[in-house]
Amino acid sequence: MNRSEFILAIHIDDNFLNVVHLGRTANGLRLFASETVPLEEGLVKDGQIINTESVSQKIRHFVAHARPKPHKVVMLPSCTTVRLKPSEFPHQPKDQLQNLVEEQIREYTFFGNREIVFDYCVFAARNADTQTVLQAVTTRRVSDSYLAVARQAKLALVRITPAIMPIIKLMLDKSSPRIKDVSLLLAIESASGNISVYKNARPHLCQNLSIGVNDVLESQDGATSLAEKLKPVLEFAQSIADHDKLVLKVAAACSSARLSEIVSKIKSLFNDVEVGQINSTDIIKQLDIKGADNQHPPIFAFISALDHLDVYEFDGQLNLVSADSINRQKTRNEMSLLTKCIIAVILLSIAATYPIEMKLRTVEASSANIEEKITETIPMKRKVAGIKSRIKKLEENQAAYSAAYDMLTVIPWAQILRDIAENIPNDIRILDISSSVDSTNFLIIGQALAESNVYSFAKKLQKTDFIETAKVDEVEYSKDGAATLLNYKIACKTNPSGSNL
Amino acid sequence: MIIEKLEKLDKSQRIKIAVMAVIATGWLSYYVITRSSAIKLNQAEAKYTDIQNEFADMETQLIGLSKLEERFAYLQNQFDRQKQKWFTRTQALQFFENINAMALAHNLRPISRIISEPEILFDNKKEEAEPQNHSLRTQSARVIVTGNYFDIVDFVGDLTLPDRARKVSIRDMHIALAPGDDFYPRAAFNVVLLVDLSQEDEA
Repeated sequence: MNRSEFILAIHIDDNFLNVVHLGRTANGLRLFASETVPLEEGLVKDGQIINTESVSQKIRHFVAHARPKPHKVVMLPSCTTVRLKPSEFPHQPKDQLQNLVEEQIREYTFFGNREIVFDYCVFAARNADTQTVLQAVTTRRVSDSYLAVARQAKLALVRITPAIMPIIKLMLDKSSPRIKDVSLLLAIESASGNISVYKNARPHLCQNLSIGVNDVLESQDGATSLAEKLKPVLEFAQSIADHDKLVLKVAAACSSARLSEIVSKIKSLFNDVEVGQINSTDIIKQLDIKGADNQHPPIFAFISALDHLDVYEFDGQLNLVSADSINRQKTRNEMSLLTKCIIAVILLSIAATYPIEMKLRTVEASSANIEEKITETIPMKRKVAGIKSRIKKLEENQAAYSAAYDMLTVIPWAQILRDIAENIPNDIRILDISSSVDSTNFLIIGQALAESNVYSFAKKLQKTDFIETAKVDEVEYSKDGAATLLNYKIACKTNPSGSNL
Repeated sequence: MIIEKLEKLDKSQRIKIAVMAVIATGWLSYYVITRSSAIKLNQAEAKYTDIQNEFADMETQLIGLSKLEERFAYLQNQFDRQKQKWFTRTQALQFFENINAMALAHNLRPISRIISEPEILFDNKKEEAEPQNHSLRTQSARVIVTGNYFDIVDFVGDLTLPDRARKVSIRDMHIALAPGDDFYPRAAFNVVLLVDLSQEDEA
């Protein structure tokens, strides 16, 4: 089902907010909901909405409980706020007719210098040279207040149409079998009304009435007052009527019972007039509207909703909203959307900081945790540094001890002296063995009988492990009595590596 | 006032203005609201990385602590063994005191024994260098004995036994026969010991 086939029609008069939620479904027309909501005094005065917020709040309340959710709305201002004027125009294309109507409306002075908006509907009989255009005019202030109500109720305003216009369409609809019977239409709201005269399905006179349902039924002289107001109109109708007996149809914004009461009062007032009523129950039966069991939807809103769903076909019908107002509403809506977008972007930025802040906290907590661990291990770190320092000192000491230890050369004197003793020839005598200061060299001084023995001794010494070199340093012969002695000196160098063997 | 100005614009201009307004708001919101948080986060993450690296270094150090302790114990043990190769001053004096008895044990006649004061040990190769450790000293005793040559050899061998734990060095060896004496030479030499004064201090 297409959403555009649902419509909310709202008729606002001084005392009541009349709401009808109608739609076209696969099974035909369906009434989803309808309600007549009382309005507190002062919210609407003479059809002019004084407090748009309160009125829109009541609409929002209705919309909140409505299923399916309505989106589009048709608003019907009270009869008193709209002036209706029938005019004759020759047959011509629609756009030319609209221009002519617009020109004529410019000359309209009823509302003084106030900015006005207009609507019109074309009524033409077949084979006629002229057509009747029913012009509807109201002030822009009135239409803007209805536009504001629709906007505040978050509904898309499809059209503002005079409350009486859809009723007229219903009456003059070509398919209606009672078209020839109708001469007058009395439409009554709670505090105002409208009487119109028709001839050959074309309006001839439209006049607003300052008398409503409450006045007719609750005031003692209400009926008399109504009779006085209707009398000149009936006389005019009588003057143009083709039939002997006038037919008056009554539509009222009230229950069926009260409507019947009004009709009977009018009947009692005008015996020569055939009085009938237009009520929603008959229309529901006629159009076989579903979901309307035991419901009596308010007539003006109900017929307006039907009109929107193209039940009645007429040319014309613009919108009682100025282009400027619609443009302004559109701009406000766009501004509202833009504001929401900007707020969303700002919120998004703020929201984006949340995960960042969370991550930041996590990172900071982790950092603090690690820092705490680091702090806890500072003594360990000091211990490591202390051990390293002690190791270094120990290594230095070791090196110092080793170096000092290695510095002290140990000459294996016992072995050297033993080698000297073992290798000395028989005829050689040692007188003195003396070493140098560092003990690496030593000198053997002695006496021998033969020089060869000295060299032999030196050679033998050189072959030992701990003497690196043994050289005969000095050989000197001397006389000791008869014998000749050989004084010798053998210079020896110890073998340092031999000491390590 | 803004609405009145916007009313005069066509649809494409309105869309342009709306898009620009949203982009500008987004940009402004980012710089005013989100950016500072993002910068803080980056700084915190950088700090966290630094701390993590520091912690990783420290953990590595702590893992090495046990190895360091093992190494220290090993080196300490090694050093203790190394120190045992050195005489304490008392041990040195005791050793010198025993020399005469040792000489007598080898049938030698002790003539003299002069014990010197400990001297600071210098590196011969680096004469100008400062001593590496002032507690390490050498202490010597000038020993003079007379007796049989082979007894002298045995005596010297006994003093410098290779399996002796501590190093004993014989220096300035001088063995000579006295005039008219063909059998009992006189041996004079310095017995040099390595002394670690710090061990006395520790004791």
